[in-house]
Amino acid sequence: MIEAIPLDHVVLVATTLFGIGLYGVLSRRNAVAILMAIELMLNAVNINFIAFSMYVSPDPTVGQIIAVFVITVAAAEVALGLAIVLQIFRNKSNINVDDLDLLRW
Amino acid sequence: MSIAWLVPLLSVAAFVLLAFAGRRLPGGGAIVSLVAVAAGFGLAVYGFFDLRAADVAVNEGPGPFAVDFVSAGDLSVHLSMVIDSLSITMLVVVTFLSFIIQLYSVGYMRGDPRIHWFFAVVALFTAAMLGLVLANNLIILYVSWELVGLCSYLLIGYWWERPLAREAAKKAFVTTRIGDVGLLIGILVLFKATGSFEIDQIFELLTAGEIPAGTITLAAVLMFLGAMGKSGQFPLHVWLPDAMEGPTPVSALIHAATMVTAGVYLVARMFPLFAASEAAMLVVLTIGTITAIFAAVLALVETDMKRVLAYSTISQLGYMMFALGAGSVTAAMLHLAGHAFFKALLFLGAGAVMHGTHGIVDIDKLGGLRNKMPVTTWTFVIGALSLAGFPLLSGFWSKDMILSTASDGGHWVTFVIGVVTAALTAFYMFRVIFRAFFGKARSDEARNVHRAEPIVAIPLVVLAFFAIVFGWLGSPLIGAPFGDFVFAGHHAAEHGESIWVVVISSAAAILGILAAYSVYQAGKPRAAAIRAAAGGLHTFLARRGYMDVGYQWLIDNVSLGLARFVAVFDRKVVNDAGVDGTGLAVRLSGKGLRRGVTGLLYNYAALMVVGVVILAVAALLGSA
Amino acid sequence: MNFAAVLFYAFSAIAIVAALGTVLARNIVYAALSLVGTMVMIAGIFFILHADFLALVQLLIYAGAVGVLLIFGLMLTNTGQPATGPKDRWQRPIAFVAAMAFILVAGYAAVSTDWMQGVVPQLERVPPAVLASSLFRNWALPFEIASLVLLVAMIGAIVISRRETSND
Repeated sequence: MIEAIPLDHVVLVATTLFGIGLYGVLSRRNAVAILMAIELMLNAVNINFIAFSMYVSPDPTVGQIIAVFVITVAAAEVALGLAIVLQIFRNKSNINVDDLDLLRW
Repeated sequence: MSIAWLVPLLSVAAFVLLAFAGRRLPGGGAIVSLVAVAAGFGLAVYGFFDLRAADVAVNEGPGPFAVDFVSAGDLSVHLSMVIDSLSITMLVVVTFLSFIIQLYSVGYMRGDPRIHWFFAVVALFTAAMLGLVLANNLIILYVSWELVGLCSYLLIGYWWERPLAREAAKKAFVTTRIGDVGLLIGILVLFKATGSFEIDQIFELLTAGEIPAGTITLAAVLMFLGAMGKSGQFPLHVWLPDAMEGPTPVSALIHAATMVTAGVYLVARMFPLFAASEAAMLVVLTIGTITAIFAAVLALVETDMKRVLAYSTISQLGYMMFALGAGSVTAAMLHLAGHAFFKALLFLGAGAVMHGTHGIVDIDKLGGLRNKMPVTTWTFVIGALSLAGFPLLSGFWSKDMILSTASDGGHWVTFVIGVVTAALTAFYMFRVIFRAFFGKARSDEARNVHRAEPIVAIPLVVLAFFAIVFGWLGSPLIGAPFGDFVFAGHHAAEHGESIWVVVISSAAAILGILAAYSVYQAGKPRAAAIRAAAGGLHTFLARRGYMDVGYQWLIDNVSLGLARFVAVFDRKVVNDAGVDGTGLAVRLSGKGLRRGVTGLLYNYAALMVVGVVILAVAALLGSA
Repeated sequence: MNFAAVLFYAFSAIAIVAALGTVLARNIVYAALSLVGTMVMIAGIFFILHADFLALVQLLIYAGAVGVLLIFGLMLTNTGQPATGPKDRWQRPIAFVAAMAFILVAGYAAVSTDWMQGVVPQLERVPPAVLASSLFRNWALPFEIASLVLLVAMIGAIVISRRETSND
């Protein structure tokens, strides 16, 4: 049933989503928006894991399990990221990353 | 003689004590220095008899005291000493003269505000000179060598309130430095060839024929350059007459008796090295001969008593050098030791005159001192006779030994020049005597001169005694015990004295004295007439052969020109381009690079992505 | 072209559009909602790729928990200012070029690579029981480590976001 979907196309979709997420990370000011873009990139990676696991890997469970771990880490990352963003907000009353330039020259 | 190291150490201790506490000691603490050097003298005499009993030859006998001084890799420098007849002779002479002259200084320097400093530096000088004499290691020798140079500098400039003294101190330091550089390079050349700084090891390799002939000549000539500077050999002699700006005891001790003989001692100590190279021996002989006659001629027209003595010292050092160059260490060392006694006597006599006349040393302003200061006068005459080589006095024996060395070696030019120098020496010394001590007083100071006090007179008498008898040690009449001692077991270098040499040199001395009497006492012909006849020659001599002018020109044009170039190079290239340029380059590149440190997160992220993309492209191209 | 393929392309298209909404929307809340939409579409893709369990997890964790968490974060940090572009006016062009460069390079790599290399895809649905058994047997240690990571993250989040009290 899914034989009609070539692996290339799945990977292309994942690449596109990853690229969009990358653009978001690079262009957004809002720290929460950047976190969201990062989630997008992680999901794109997950698509790749599952696709390769299905099409190529001799053991189709491996990719899925890795994807589970990615989701786990992503959840931890969002939790910590938001905690940091909250703390920044308390200190600076906004969460624009380009205001966080204390380390500039 | 395992306690020889104590001799210099005593004086070092005296120096430390005087330098730090001398101000609070009565009489500037002269007693400390005197006791130290007297104890040193006692030890040296003990060592002398010890060594005589042991019958050790020159450059034999192991250093009794060898402590690691510097160890770096394979190289280790030992504080090693050599006790042989050569060094023990010097040890006795130096400690004895140092004692006598310090005793004299107690009277001469009384009331000087910095007297403790004077005695401190004299003690340091004594220590350094003894270290130099005892050194078996060229590094130790060089350190001592520089240390005596430093003391010389400090003592010439002792009255630094006087501009002349300051200038003279600088001149002495810089001029001897030229030679010292040669000495250092010579030492390093030897080290490169032998891998050792120990003199005895170098000699072992030398006798084994391990050192190439060219290296021997190079090292010997370079070391002789150091000796030329220190011993005032032509053309590096110019500093010695000016060095008379220092206190007279200093002139006596350092610039007549001991330090200036360090060069002679160095050549004597390294004699096997010099003897191994005919070229080096010829250099020593030639330089010595030129120095002897040139300085004697300059002394003819000098009117400053101390400067006459200084030129005389240079001339006599030249004598010693040509004795070495002609191959006789014995003659050179005998003359060195004898000269140390009678030249110290002459300087101390001049000092007594200066003291009595409150600083007048110009013989044109003196005269008639004979009646007011008999002791000074007659000891001075004894010294002058001895220096002139008057028969049976100290200088006579050593001078004859030197001249016979020259005649035996077939160095006829040197021999003739030596005889002429001997005559000139007698002439200029008696010119001083007739002008200063006889005749009529030509100034108020000379008329009102006061007699030398006992503490000044006693050293004069003691030294006069030695000026008469010391040379007898080298007299063939009593079997020349000095030659036996300095060359115990090596009789090859001994020279028999032929009677005609004795006759010629005695005749030269007496002739010189008579000529001086005729010109300066009898007035036939008058000195002014001779001066007029000599014309330009007199001017040439009075201006010291224009050597100072020449050196000044050299410094002004060559040295300073080079220095100016170096200064510009340093300022423009090293400072502006090298030092500031480096800083500027760093600052500018930092200024440029810090624009990249925006502190903006997405800038960094974008750069990271660019990097990843570049790597990915590279990977793709690589795999394609 | 069958039903699954049609669904896949449809989901993919919607996911990409929603992803673009996530990164482009001026209103940050719309962006968050678009992200949730993307997550749901990706869950659909997982489902089509026979990863049923992952699809459910995706729905629960991303579309549910993470989405809610992000919206909470937005509410807590709402400054009331409209979202504006970065201060550096070159940042957006640079970001665009970088992202396009990545997509092109990675896409070229994806298309040009022979992924299968002769392997015949099995394309079988993996029952959750098999997955579970593999996870708890073969991957037990990473699983435990992952739980530890979550615990640490939880404690860390609490510690970081806690208000500083003056003296305790």
